[in-house]
Formats: sequence, C-alpha cells, structure tokens
Amino acid sequence: MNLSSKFILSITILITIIISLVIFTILKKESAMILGQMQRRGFVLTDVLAMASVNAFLNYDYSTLKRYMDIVAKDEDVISIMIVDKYGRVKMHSNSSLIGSIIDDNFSIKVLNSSQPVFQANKISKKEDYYYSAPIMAGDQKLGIIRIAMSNKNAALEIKTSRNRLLMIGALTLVIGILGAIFMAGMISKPIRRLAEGAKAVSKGDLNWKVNITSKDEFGILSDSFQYMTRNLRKYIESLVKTEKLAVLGQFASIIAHEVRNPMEPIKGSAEILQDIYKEDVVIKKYTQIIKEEISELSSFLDGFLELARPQNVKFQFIDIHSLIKETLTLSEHYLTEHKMRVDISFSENLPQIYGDPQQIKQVYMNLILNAVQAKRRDTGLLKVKSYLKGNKDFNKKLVIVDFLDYGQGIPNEHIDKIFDPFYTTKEEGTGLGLSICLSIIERHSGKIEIESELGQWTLVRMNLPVIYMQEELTSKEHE
Amino acid sequence: MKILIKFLTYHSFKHTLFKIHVLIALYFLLPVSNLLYAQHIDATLRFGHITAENPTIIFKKYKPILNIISKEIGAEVILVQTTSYSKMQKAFLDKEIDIGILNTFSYITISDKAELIPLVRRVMNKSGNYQSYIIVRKNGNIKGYSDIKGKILAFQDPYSTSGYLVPKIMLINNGIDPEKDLKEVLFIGTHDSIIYAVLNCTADVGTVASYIFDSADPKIKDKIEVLEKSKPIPLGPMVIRRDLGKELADKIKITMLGLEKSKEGRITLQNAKLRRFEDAKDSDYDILRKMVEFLKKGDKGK
Repeated sequence: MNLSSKFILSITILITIIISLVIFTILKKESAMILGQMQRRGFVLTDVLAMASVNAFLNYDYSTLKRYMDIVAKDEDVISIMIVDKYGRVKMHSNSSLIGSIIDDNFSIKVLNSSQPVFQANKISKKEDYYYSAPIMAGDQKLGIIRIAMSNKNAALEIKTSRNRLLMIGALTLVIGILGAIFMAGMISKPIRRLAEGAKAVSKGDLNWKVNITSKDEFGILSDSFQYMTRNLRKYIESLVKTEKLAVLGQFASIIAHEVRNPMEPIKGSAEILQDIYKEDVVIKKYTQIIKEEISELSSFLDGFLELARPQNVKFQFIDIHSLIKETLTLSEHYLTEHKMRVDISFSENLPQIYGDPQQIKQVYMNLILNAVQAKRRDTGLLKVKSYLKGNKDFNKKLVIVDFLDYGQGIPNEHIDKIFDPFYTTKEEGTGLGLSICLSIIERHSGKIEIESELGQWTLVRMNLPVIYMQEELTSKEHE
Repeated sequence: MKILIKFLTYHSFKHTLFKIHVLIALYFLLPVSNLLYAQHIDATLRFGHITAENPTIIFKKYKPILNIISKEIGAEVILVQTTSYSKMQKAFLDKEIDIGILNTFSYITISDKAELIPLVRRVMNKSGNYQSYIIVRKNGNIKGYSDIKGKILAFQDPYSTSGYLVPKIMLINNGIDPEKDLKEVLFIGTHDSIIYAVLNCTADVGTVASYIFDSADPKIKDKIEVLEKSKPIPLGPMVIRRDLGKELADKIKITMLGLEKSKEGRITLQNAKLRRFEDAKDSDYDILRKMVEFLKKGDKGK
C-alpha cells in the first residue's frame, strides 16, 4: 500500500469515526428532546383539560366537555381522550361509541385509585403509546380523571427524518473528506515521489537528475539538500577521476623516465661529439644543433611531466615568500624585459615564513609569470604581485596569500573548471601541464590555488599557503 | 363581551400550536361563559337566546342572523346567553335583554310581565312545531313507562318546554310522578348534554327536543332509543320588548320573514338549521298555557 492510499484510508476512517460519534450523539439528544417535548405537551394538555373540565363536569355540561375534548383531539399526536368519573365510567370520550363504557385496565385503575392529584405517564412498550392522566379535582374532592393517549408516531417520524438528514450530512461530509484526503495525499506524495525518483536516478548513477521542488516547506528544503548532495557527489566523483588520471599519469611518467629519458643523454652526447668532430661541417653542425635543442626541449618537457607525476627531491624548509618571489623575478628579468612586461610588487610586511620546498614554489611562480606574459593582450603588459596575511588569532589557521593579477586576455568561463586538468591547454604550443603542476605543488604544501577571471580584462591567480609554526615558536609566541 | 364570545369559537382554529393557549383561555373564561351578561349600552341591541344547546353552537348558529339584523337597524346587535332559562327570563324582565329567542315555556311565563311582542317563529321542518323525546339507552332495561320508575331522569331546565314541561306531563299521564317515583331528577342544562348524560349513564332517561336529537351524531343516536315522542309543540318565538317601539319590531319582523327570499338569507337560515321564520302570534302558544294550567292544578291537588 502506498503512502497516499494509507493517508486516504486513515483520514476516511477518522472522519467516519468522528461523524458516527457526532451523529450518534446528536440523534440521541434530539430523540430525547423530541420525546421530552411530546411528554411535556401531554402533561400540559392533560393538566389544562383536567382543570378546565371541573365546572362542566359538575354541571353535567357534557357538550362543553366534548368541545374541550375536540380541541385537544386536534393535536395530531393525540390518539384518544377520555373523561372518566371516579367509578370508572367513561363520561366522555373522543370516540363517541365508547361513551358510557366502564374502564378496567390496570393503568386506569391505578390512576383512579390514586388520590394524589399528580400526573402519570405510562409507556406501553409494544405500541409506544403514552398515557397521561390527571385527576379532575373540585377543591380536594376527586370527581374523576382525564386520560389522554398519545402516539409517538409523529415524534418517531420526526426522529427518523432527523436521522436521515443527519446521515445525509454525514455522507456528504465523508465524501468531501475523502475528496479532500485524496487531494491532500496527492499534494504530499507528489514531492515525495519526485524525491524518490531522484534518489532512484542517483542510485543508478544519474547525478544530473533535478528534483525541481520549489515549495517553501520541508519538501523544498529536502529538495535543495538533495540537489546539494548530488552536486557535491558529482564534484567528488570528478575529483576522484582527476586523481585517478594523475595516478595513471604518474605511472606513465615513471615509464617515460626510464624508457625515454635514459636514451636521451647518449643521444645528446652523441650529437655533441659529432659537433666536436665535424666542427667545420655546416650541415652536421646544423642538424646536431637541432638534435641538441630538441633533446633539451624534450628533456624539459619530461622534467615537467615527472615533476607532476612523481615529485622528487622535495626538501621542505622554512622559507620567506618574498625572497622566493624576488628570486624568481630576477631569474626571469631578461624574459620580462624582452616582452615588455611590467611587474608591480606590493608585499605586506612581517609575513611569517612558510614551510615548503623553495624550488617547487619558485617553479609555481615562474609558471604563473610565463602564463601572464603569454596572456598579454597588447605589446606591453602588467602583472601585479601582492602578498598578505589572512586569518584569525588562531595561529595555526593563518594563511599567507599571494595574488598574481594580470591584465591579459582572461579565461573564458567554460574553461575555468578545466584549467587545472593535465594536458588541457588553449595555447598552440602549450603542453597543458603548467597549471596542473602548480596545483599539485600547492596541494602538496596543503595550500589552495584558485583562479578567477574576467574575459578580456584580467585574470587573478590566488594561492594560499598555511603558516606552520614550530612548536618552540608557538610557545614563545604564546608567551609574548 | 363580544370578544369573549368570539373566544368560544376558537375551536375551529386550525393551528395545533395554539391549542394549549386556547384551552387555558377557555379555562379562565369558564366562570364567565356560564353567565354572560351584557353591559348596558344604548346603541346596542342585546339579543338573548335560551341555552337549549351549548353556547358555542348557539353563537355559531345565530351570529349571521344577528349581523343581518344589525345591518338592517343600523345598530350593533350582541348575543347574550345565560346558564339557565330562568336567568334568561329574569334578564328580559330586568330589561337587560332587548330582543331574543325564547323557548315556549319561558315565553308564556314572562310574555305579559316583560311586555314581549312575539315577532316570528322558527320553522325547522315542515311546520313551526317540534316534539319532545323521552330517550333511553338501547342496551338499557327501559322498555316502557313502567320501567322508568326508580331510575335517574334528566330534565333540561325547569323552564324547558320539551325538556321539562311536556315530558313531565307525559310521565304524569302515564302514571309516573317524577317527584316520587324516580330515584333522582337531574337538570342538565342543555339538550345536547342530556343526550351525552343518557349515553354515559349519568341518567337513565332523558328528555330532549326532537330537533336537537335528530341532528345528533349518528354514532350516538345508534346507542339511544327514543322511548316516547310528544305531540307537536310550537317552537318558541323570537320576541322583542314592547317598549322598544313598533317600528323597530316591524322592521325586524319583516327582515326575518324575508330571509328565505334572498340567497344570503337562505344561507343564514341554513346555518342556523332553520327553514325559515314564520309569523308568530301570541295565541299560537295557548295550547302550552293549558298544559301549564294542568300542571299547576296537579300541584294544587297535592
């Protein structure tokens, strides 16, 4: 049984129970009221008739008694009226043929013998007729009795009508309730069904499934959370894939290192030997030179490749970021001048040292400088390098941040996500390894590298590296 | 007074919800309805009717006739009833009533003293006469005059013609002295009540006007036997006090005699269970005067 059916069923049962209770209660009260009213009327009619009859009874004015009786007999519930003298003789009866007869039923005898001027109502069970009797009293002398028989036929009919009406209202309420329950069930189960479908789709691997519930209730929140979950799952899987790629690359690189790099030195050496031997030979010189250059280029490519895959000779030490940047700039000074690239530096003072491999960090900076130069839009270019400290009082979480902001071509949005992928490049001569290497180096240093860009305007590369203090240092700082 | 009488007609009121109220009203009215006196207002003609029947029935029967008289003479005519014939006679003598219908016995009793002019006589059947019935229960043991001895007898009123005078003479003529030979003599007030009284064993023998018995509920008549019927008796006249003038008397007489000539009049007559009114003379009632004489002699003889 699905959720909606359960909901509808339980609502239906609930309504049915409530309606039944309500109908039962109302009906019971109403029946009591109708019967009570009838009884009161019977008492009053009998009482009034008894009081009104005294004089006529005393004066043998039977035609007047008959008149009173006729009036009372017009009440639809009244079956019969009789006026009986104290000996049980029917002096007047609504049915003329009974006038003069003697009554001797138990009720009448009981009433006749009762000296108390009180009412008695007897219910004779089978016929559901009610008998009311009152003594006709002239002072303290009992002349006779008035006896009125009333039928509950009309009352029963009224109760029946009322019951039918109530049942109809009940049925109507039930129908409306069930329709409402169906509607509500649809409203509740629809988003659940969609979430269930989404979960099913995700379990089958479709991480792009959209649940699309915009309501502002718990379902909306659930849907958003679901969406957030699939997005993160997707990212996680993507990063797993990337790691896998890099792992494969690493294996690949070590093969290359052994199988490709090893023969490269003899080739290069052989080319140099050839050059030495045939110093004068222009042709040899030319081709050996090509061999040498290509080998160098291949070698440096392999270096990068290996660096990415299997960083070697990593030597971590406390380093000053500023001096590293300056060293890199000095190294590339010639290249920058050649490409008319201006570099603005703004260092914040008293930056703490970071713990890392200076060579690798320099390699990152060098890469970024080269990228900036290559992204130049015009003849001249500008690169702003800025460093600062970020973080709260908790030393361990302080970060040294270095921004490289160039005003070059920028990066199209669609490329931003893939820019750190190995072999991904937009340049004709690029290997697609530069930023991959940067990323792996920075991550190796427990740092982060982010790129923001405005196409045709600027590109900002922001690196942050955690400040790591030695234990003694921390203690001394705390003491200060 | 008019309003009070009107209350009595409420029995025709259909709405059941008001029944209790009507009953309560009846209860409070009861002492009043037993003796209905008119207040003396000059512009009003007070019409008395002897209580042969239940006042409600009489009111129903005569109100339309009273309306016609009222229209004719240009004065209000109100119906006045009393609980007994003697009270009606007294009301005439005291000039508390101006005009009205008297029973025969009452008429001959007071016509001279009250200076009454007989105007018209009610005609119910072919003639303006009726009879007195002596009635008994069918299942009772009274088969003839002789069985009446030792029984309870119901007269209507000591001044009733068919409910006292005539049957009393009939009994006497058949050897029954009502004052000696009967267990009990009751005066029951109205003819219709006498029928019920015989039926419900209040009395064993009843004396009743033929026109009232004949129009009774057939179911009741089924259980009642008419033991004896009297010779025809002239119905009591409609009378007016002489001091109100001949002009008014003639006007009313002509109106009454003319009722059977118009459709409206015929409906009115029918409603009062009358065929017509016929001219009445004082001498019409001489036969009754003789009967009274006879009774008086009898009394003297004791």
